[in-house]
Amino acid sequence: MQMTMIEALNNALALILERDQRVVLLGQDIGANGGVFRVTERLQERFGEQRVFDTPLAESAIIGSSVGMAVYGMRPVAEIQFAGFLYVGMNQLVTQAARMRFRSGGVFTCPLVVRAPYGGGVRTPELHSDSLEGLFLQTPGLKVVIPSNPYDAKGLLVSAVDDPDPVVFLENIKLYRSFRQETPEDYYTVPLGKANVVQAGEDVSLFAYGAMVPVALDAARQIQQETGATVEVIDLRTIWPLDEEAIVSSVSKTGRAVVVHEAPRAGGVGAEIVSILNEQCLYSLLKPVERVTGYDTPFPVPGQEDYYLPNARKVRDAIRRVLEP
Amino acid sequence: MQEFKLPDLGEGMQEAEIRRWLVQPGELVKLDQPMVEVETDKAVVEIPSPVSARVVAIHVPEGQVAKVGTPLLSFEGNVTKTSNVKQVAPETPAPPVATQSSSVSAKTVLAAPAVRKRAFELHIDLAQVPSSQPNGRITMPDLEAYLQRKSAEPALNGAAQLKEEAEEKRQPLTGLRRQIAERMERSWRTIPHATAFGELDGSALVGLRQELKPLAEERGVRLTYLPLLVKLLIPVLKEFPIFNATLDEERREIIYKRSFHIGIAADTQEGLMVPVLRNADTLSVIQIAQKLEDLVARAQKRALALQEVSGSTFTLNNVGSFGGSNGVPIINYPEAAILAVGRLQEQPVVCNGAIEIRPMMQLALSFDHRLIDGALAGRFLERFKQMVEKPQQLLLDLV
Repeated sequence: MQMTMIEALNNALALILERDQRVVLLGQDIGANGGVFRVTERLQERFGEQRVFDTPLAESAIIGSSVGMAVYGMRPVAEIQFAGFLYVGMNQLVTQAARMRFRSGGVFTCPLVVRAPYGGGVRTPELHSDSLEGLFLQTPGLKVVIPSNPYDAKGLLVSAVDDPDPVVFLENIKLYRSFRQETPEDYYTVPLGKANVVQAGEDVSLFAYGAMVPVALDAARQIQQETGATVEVIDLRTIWPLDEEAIVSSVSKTGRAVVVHEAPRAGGVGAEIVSILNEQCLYSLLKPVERVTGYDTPFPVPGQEDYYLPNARKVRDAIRRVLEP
Repeated sequence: MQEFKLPDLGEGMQEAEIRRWLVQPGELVKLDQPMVEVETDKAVVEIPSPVSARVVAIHVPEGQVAKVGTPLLSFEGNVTKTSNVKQVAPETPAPPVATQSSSVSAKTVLAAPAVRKRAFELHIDLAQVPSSQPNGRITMPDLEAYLQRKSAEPALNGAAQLKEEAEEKRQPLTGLRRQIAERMERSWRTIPHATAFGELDGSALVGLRQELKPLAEERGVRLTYLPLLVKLLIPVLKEFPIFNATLDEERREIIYKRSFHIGIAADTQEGLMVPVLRNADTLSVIQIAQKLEDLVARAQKRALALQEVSGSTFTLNNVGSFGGSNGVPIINYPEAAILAVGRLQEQPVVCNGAIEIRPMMQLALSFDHRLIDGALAGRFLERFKQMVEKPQQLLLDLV
């Protein structure tokens, strides 16, 4: 069935609720209202107020009570309206959820999923466009997943709920309804920690995730038309644990790499990938690895966001530089 | 560390070839001391040091072409702008400076890790590999090209290569040869050439030179035909200004030159050079002769300044001086025309119904057909012929 990412996520949540009685959904206005982006539309109607319920406007409480439920054997899936509001729940997420396994010496795990829309390009006001994966990458104990299409979104969300550890599941707002994709209505999973080679190539490796995947593909197509060079486009899908094997094997082949993300540059996912390449395939590198990223500033006001976000032109320019001998 | 970048030496220079380094890494250079000999499109120039300092590294090896703005070499940390300040080593050298100078060895090679690994596997010293990059970095294609060249050497590999070696020899196009090649290509590609031929009776010219030669010698000047031909050419150029013009290709405008800078083709050991006789219309025959002798002598030594080999508005090619009777010249871009004059050769000609022996000179005028048509070129040649055949005409317009 052709689904948008919203529909695929809704479909995944319905399947999970049906299959696993331990699963509950909680968040602001997710019940009758169906959530700010309607990801949980009609789920309360179908599964009842015990399984799908609204919470007060308090992110800290949403995540905190999810931690409690998870430790006691439930499988809470919490929705935070925008990733930027996660800052308020960071204490619960970082000091409780992420540390439960380590603190208890492996006796307890904390199998919760926090879903949050993120990303720019849709003219939202302040704090509604932040990309926080860099923060979570630096938080040991959390897994971080970012799908780039409806099929992956569904399969990855199912895997996230099944995972024994806390997963931050970040959904790009721009991708929510930007295209439909053939997505099975039945149960399937996409494994966490595995990148996807969207398009194979020989000359340069292009790493992206979330809304940057279509941007990367666009740039890759332009480069191919322009120079005949083939670009290997890799959708990371999971930010932590990073699929080091996929990253290293691609660059060992191409010798050239560009990383694209809309999050700020310093200390981000791009920096981590460059470090992995440095440690594991330095002697394959023909040119410095380029990063095409957002800037090291707060996400700008809507009028300026087109300057901030990476686009196909910026990515193409970086690839051109990297392709020079 | 302070980098010294290849400066723009004028005349719209884009790049220069590094001919010879006159300093070495580790050497202390003084202000204005010549550091490097570079060859531009036009001339060989020595670049003096702008400071007194120690040279830490040389970034562009000899034989390579560097673009304007490319770092050529680096000086150590604190450089002194005056030559008389003596460099005294501090008792305890400041740590950052010390580490900097020790880490940059004489042979710092820039290369990506993959290139280094490949060179290591092949037992190749990267310092021996010529770079194609402005900063001297060795790329994978550079390494591969070097490898290919090396494997083509007969010493390394069997008889097959030896045979190949015997049948042909490859030599990179460098220096003046490369510049000539580029300029000729440019001229031939851009300018639609057409050539008009003519012939003149040089009897009067021969007579004139014979009379003037001892007089010039008294003044210590060796008078050849060339100064006379230049002098006779000027009024013709003035009469046909389109031959002393150039086409502005971008703006599609014809630029008529008010000055008459005559390029004179000269053969040198390394190849063709065209020294320029500036403002030839303001010079006497004696002055032209003196200037020409000096220019040609210095062209042989490659000692001409940039402005002495650029900016000509029309070129005169005395193929006679190379022993040729005639040839079709290629226009000295971006000029509008070039005149080749052949050697004076005695030939039977028919004059008033009788056969006479006359010293004849062949003429070939190549012109930019975008600006000039054949009829006009014919008239130009005819006028030049009249001038040379009756050189006393010069007196008519003398002021």
